[in-house]
Amino acid sequence: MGETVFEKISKKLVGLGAVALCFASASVAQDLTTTKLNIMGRPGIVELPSAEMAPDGQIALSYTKHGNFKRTALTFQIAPRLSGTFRYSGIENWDGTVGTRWDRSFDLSYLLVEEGQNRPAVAIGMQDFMGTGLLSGEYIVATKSIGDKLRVSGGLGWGRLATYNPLGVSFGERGGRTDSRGGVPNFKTWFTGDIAPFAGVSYQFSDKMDLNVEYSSDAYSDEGERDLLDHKSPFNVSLNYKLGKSTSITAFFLHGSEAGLKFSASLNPKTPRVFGGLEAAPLPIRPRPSRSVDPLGWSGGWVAEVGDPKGIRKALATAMTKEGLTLEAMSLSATRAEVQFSNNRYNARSQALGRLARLMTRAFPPSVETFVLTETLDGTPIHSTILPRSKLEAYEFEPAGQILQATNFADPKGLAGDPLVPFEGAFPNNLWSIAPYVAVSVFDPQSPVRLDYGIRGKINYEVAPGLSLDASATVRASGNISAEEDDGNPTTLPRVRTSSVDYDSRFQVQTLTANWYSRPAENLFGRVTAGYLESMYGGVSGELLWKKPQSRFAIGAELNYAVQRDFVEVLGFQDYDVLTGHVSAYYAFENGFHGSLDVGRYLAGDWGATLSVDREFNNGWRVGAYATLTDVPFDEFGEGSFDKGIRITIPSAWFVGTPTTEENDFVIQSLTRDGGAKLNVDGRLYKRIRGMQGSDIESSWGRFWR
Amino acid sequence: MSRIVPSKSIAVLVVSLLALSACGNDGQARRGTDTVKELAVLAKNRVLGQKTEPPAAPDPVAMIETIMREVPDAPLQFVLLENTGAFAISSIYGQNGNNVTWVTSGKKTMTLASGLLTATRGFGGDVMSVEDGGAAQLITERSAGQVQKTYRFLNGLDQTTRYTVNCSIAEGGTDQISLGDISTTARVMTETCTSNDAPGFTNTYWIDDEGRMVQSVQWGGSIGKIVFSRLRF
Repeated sequence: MGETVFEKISKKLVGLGAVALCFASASVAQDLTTTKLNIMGRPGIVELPSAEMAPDGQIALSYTKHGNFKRTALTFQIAPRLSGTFRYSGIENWDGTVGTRWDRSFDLSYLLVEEGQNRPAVAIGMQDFMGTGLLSGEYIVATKSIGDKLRVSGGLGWGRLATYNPLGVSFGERGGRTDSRGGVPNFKTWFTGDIAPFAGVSYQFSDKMDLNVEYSSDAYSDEGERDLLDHKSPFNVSLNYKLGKSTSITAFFLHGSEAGLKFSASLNPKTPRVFGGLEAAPLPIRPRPSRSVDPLGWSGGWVAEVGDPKGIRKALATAMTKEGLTLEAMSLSATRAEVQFSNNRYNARSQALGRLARLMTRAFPPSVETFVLTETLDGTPIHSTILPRSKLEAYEFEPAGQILQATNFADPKGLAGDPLVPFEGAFPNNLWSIAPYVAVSVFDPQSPVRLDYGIRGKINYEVAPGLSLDASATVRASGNISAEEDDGNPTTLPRVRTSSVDYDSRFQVQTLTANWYSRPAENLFGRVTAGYLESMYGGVSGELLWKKPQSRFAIGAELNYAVQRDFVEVLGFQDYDVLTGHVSAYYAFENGFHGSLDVGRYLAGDWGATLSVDREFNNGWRVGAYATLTDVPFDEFGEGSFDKGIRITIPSAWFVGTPTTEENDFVIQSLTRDGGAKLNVDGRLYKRIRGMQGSDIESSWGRFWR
Repeated sequence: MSRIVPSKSIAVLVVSLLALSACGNDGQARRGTDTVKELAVLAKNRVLGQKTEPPAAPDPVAMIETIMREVPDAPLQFVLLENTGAFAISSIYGQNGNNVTWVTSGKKTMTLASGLLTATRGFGGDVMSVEDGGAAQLITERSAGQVQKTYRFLNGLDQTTRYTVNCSIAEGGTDQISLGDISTTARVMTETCTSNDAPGFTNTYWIDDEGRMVQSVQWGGSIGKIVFSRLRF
């Protein structure tokens, strides 16, 4: 029946989905946006910055090489006016005795004024604003477009960006690079010392190619002294060529002496491969027959006749399985039906709700008007969505906002209802998988990319609602991550994380735990995990979280007793044990920004706090940064002075176009050290609970009818 | 940060263990495998510049005859996508008030109210809903007029976006339509829609003497034009 043809359609539609409806989302004209990067890996001219910003949410990765210099940079357009860059650079032959010098740096750039008819856009920024600041420099830059193709920039630089032909005026004395460990914002030097002007032009030849010329205020003085780059001229030139929709290559010539190449790739989380997903259509709503056609069904008289609705449970469970949902328990009265379920398919909760609600219109007799859909976490009820059946029937083909108006969210704990009857087949439930794995480690100077690969097995056994057993183990086939060496800066701290490389057995039990989730009271969630909690520690972990379904604020507490595991013996322990835990406050800001503050005791027994900010996109992308300050003095912490890093979560569904809750987490830690280290216990509550609750459901409500 | 590192120092990028191929009963783990496979195919096609070759399309006339014979009593509708030339025969999946949902064997659906498209599902870039501004009434009554329609879609963040158009409905000539069990004379109605910030589109409808939609060519957002031909009422 033409199936192959329609499969063909779906394949062909893949390409269309991505470019879909650019016209429909009335694009807010954002002045001077660009996806072009300079050789520092962020929007700019050749090497120097401009006032251009990337489209909101844009993520770009670039690699630059010229002479003795190489740079890998990750740039994220944090908000429409704010851009951040993390860069890892290597300089060969920095001084004779050591090979390559490695250097990490952070940049920030903020758009002060948008471009107007007659005025330029103005941005202010800091390059390498933390630590010893090999690349440190600050700037104010203005950029104006002239017609479609030409953009002219001019600005003033400080620090490194004021080393060529300074103006002769200065903002006080700029301190030198004195801090030996780096990693601390050097407030005192920002916008101090000499000032020098820079300028540049960009010309867009065609859709694929543009030329950039700049007069640079960077004299490469330190590099010149070391004979690493011979600065002959202040002029830099670059030619960008777009290879594909999201990749480009750049050839450039710097300071009259050195040529180089840059390769870059970018994407925007707001533009998935397919808008709205490719998954099969849902079953339509089945409207109820009229009262005259089914008087018994409408009267509720069927309740006595049916008794225990075993048949309904079974039929609903079967239909739900096809939609990737699992029926755990159900209650049914003449006017109300509650379905307790778990969702392992849809990242957008609203879609799971929409599909389940449709199935419910097919499962229950006409007198049942109130549908309660309760999602569970390991069998523990977390959140209820209450839908009036008549509104589902009325609004199936209306804008999704209409059914949202008629929807209520509640905590099942505080919801009066009929007694739930467990679905016979739901517990015990055993999930297992055996799959190859790859683990990657980058930024180790000895070997830029290290790989481990092997086979990993996982078992999750749900004994009863709320109680489960988890195990995962790996057998490494080959790899060299453990060949990484410590940075050789011994400290007096217990080696709570730096000893990770000593766990180099081929066979490793990653986790072996018993988990118990509970609901001690309304708006209160509990977790207890005991056993081998993570690859380096075993013990007991307990957590409590208070969160209302619709509130932006939540508070939690976690207490762990952790014992360090043996390096060699798979299930053995060492002498080191610690009581560690935190009190955490969480807040959901506007526009998908989420902040959290953890205060407490860390693995090495140090006391302190972790501040994190993440930007979450509705489709599951997350980009964030965190920093931990503890009572460990910077000297003792060692390199980097304190723990901080960047983390990115990438949802698989974004690439594939069909729903999956699978995610890939990437964490770029500045350095793995022993201060400010946390236990990596699975199943922490906040993100999991929030994802199931009202405000997160609402943020992607458009998917309810998808 | 930017401390120059004199000797070895490690910054680790921890990548979640990525399943390449798996066995087990954990759907998510299997899903992960599918993800990697699909990505691999995508990457391969990107690199080699290949498109997945579609299987040879069957002859639509033969397909219509076969299905009309195999499914003797149910209402049927032939559907074709102008962008790709792909076609299928659909049957009724559900009816809610005036909205009739048609499904293909590939589990893609199109919902029509009085023959006018109100939703699609399963294509990617689906039409989520349409407010027709009274267009269906004018068209089935075969009268000219002006309406404002709003199409709703999802953007990349699963938020609803609107596309509002002003449409003028006009009466055309008559056509003789013969396909499947249908053989009738139908009035041609055109609906020409324009908006300020995007190119517009034209929908064409063929209405029989009873006001029923016999055939239509309708705009479906990024899906392109969809051709509907009723084979049996």
